[in-house]
Amino acid sequence: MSLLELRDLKIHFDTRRSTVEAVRGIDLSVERGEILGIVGESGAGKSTIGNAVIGLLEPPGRIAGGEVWFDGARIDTLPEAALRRIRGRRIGMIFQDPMTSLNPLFTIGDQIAETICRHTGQSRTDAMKKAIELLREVGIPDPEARVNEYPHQFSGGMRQRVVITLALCADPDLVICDEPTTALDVSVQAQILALLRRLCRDRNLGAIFITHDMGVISEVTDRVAVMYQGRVMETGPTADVLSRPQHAYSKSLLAAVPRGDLRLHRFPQLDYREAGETRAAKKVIDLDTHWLGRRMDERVQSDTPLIQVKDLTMRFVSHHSIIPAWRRSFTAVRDVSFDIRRGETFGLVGESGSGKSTVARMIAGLYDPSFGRVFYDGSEVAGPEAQPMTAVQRQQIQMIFQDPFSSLNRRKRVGDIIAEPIRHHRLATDRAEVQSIVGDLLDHVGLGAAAARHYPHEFSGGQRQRISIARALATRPQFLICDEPTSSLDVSIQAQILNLLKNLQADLGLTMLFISHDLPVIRQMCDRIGVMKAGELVELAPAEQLFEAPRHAYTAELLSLMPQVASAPAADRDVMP
Amino acid sequence: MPDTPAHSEPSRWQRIRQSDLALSFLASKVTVAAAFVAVVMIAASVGAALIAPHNPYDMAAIDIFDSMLPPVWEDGGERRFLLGTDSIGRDILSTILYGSRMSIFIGLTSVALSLVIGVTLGLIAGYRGGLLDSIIMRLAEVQLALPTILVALLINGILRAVAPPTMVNDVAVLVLILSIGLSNWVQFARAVRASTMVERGQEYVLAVRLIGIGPMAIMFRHILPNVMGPIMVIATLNLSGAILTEATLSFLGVGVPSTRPSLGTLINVGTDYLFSGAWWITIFPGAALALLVLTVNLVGDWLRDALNPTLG
Repeated sequence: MSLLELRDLKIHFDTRRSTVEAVRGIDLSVERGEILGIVGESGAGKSTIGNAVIGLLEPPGRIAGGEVWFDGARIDTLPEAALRRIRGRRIGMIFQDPMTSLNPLFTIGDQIAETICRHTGQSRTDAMKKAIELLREVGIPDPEARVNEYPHQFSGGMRQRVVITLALCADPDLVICDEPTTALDVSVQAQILALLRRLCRDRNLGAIFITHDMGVISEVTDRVAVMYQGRVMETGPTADVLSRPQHAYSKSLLAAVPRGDLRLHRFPQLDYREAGETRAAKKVIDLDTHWLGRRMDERVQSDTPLIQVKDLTMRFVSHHSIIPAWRRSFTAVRDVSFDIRRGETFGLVGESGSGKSTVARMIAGLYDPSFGRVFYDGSEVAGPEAQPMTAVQRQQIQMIFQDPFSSLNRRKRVGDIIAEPIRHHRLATDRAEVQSIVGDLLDHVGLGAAAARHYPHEFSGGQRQRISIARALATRPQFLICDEPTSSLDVSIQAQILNLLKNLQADLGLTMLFISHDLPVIRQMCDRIGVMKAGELVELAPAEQLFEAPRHAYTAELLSLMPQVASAPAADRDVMP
Repeated sequence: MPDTPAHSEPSRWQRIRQSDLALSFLASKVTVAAAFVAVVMIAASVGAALIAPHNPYDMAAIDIFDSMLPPVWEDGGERRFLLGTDSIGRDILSTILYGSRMSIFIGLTSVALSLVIGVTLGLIAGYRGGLLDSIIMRLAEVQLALPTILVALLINGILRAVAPPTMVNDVAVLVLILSIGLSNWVQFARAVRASTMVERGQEYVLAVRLIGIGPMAIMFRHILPNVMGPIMVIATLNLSGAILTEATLSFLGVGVPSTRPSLGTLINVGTDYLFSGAWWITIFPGAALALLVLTVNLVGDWLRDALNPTLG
């Protein structure tokens, strides 16, 4: 008898217009002491399963068929009151965002002790003792003092440890972890994963680990189920599935995962689509005749680096005051200097808060640096002697943003969004030419000219990111800043976008500044890489040298923490299904 | 699916009918009824010249012998005057129609005025921030401290003192619009400022800044459409408020003259006769005003809920 067994589970969401089948009949089981991974892209139905097991499906979601068996008893038919006795006590839950899963108004100790009292009926003093003991077990230093602190006094990683404590405090038999490390930095993620694995071993817990990250699956789970659009495509021991995927979808998913150990020319195009758009054949842009190539004469060929950054420092005021001595500020970026050569892709990597995006925004002219200078093509564009950017300079520096949902104006049609820079800079002579350029740009990013008539909300995250790229290209830029362009996208979409960027760079001779927290992605994209930590540039080296022989201790640490997919031989992966 | 070809796009009308807003509207029976009543009243008042049985502005057509006639179902009522007549023989139904036209006109224009002022100041304060923001918002707080009626009386007093006595009646409408419009802009400015401060940091704004587009174009062409949702709600709710303020001011005697009455003027005139038995002179305009304000408010309330994603 398995600890948890799902038999032909179906979950439907009834909307006003139709019924969405989120989970379409799946069979899964978890044994004691086993960690089952559920992996898949957004919309695959992973989280829905986790919520359904503990009866936390939000209406209009409902279990439309199948059975859920837990420790020999069927639980999907239990009334809410009986479920509540199981939830938290016998099945623990760890959610994605440690910022919102703790109540900010109660101390850590109160929250844990309340849960213990509620589930085990212990006295409050005993519960508090147990809370301290548990906090020590999950690696929180000085737990006696910290139980009296509030959630905001803990860092993200420490908060996630508290959430883990909450899930474990009633000694459950099963823990469901829904993307428990997605909101965390890579160094914190490694610690949390190790902790979860140790706890499951020590306590002989069953666990379901829901994630989109193949690296996480590879490090933590014993068995894995690959989900796609509400169905389980493949299930088996993690090592087998990762090294010898059987199903075409698993193969395409694995092929899209950026590798930290090897630089590929392009991501292999393994597409698995049951439905959806067809990819437009890639057109090669001939710069001599194409609109994007016109005005090439403005590009001076010289040996000076395209971008020179000298001692860039940025202070943000954190406390305003009329009296200078009372003002407080914090330094987001401190004395950063580097050059970006023509035609290269320069990478900036670092954890959240390391100042990568601030540097990018200073180069783009969105922020004024507190100190230091930025030179574009030899002329100072930011700094004490900077002239306001000319229209030509303005056109040549463009940026692609992280969040595909906020980077497009939701009230404007895609065609107007892309036409905006063309109209503003009068790059086309008449309305018809603007339209044909917009259509052409949309073709090049793989969306097709028909997309111009639609509004942004009609597109998925990956498609929106393509629209952003088309908009950035519409000024005929020479220098493109990509600020985490794929970090909110699924891996297969990420692979497509990264390939698109590489193709465009090759065709248009773009110079790029590529920012990411994701080392494997950086490795695939960049020629030279700068590593940032707490606002400072700690190491700058060519990509291969940085990955093979890091000089700075922090770089070496980041590299060692990079989750590795138990890798298949490269030859296996390039095989088409 | 209907048997349309797979590639045909839904027409604009189909898209509107299928939108969440339309479905939510049709699901709320009270809102549908309120909107129907409001639209009928507004249409009737706009078309007053066509519908009204008499022209109350035409002094020549008014006969003093028809004065103080009760509604048609009362003893002494006449078929010509369905809701009776007032002290100088004007048909109450016609005066209500013409009067609500005046009320709605003043309401709409004063709301439009406060919307323009409030949205402009709010956008600038929210987008620019810093000192300009502080100045505008302190100004708004000063404005909030003064009740609308007092501001209206002040502006009214100044304008009447400045304008030549022969023009006093002509400027009366302008006085009302200015005084109501100038005292209601704060709500708009605050709402727009708050949304603008959120939108300012959104990446689409950064993207248009990178293109090189100037701050005015960014504020009015790019940010404004994104903050219009709450503005429309405030405007609808303010419309009924403005109509009421107009009625109050007219009731207090500083509004439009009784020769070209608004609903408030009618109520004011009627109260003199309320205890002499001629209740219809004040009750019918009062009921019309209450119904108009109520229905517009109901539509505004629905709009606020429908456009607020945090309310289920």
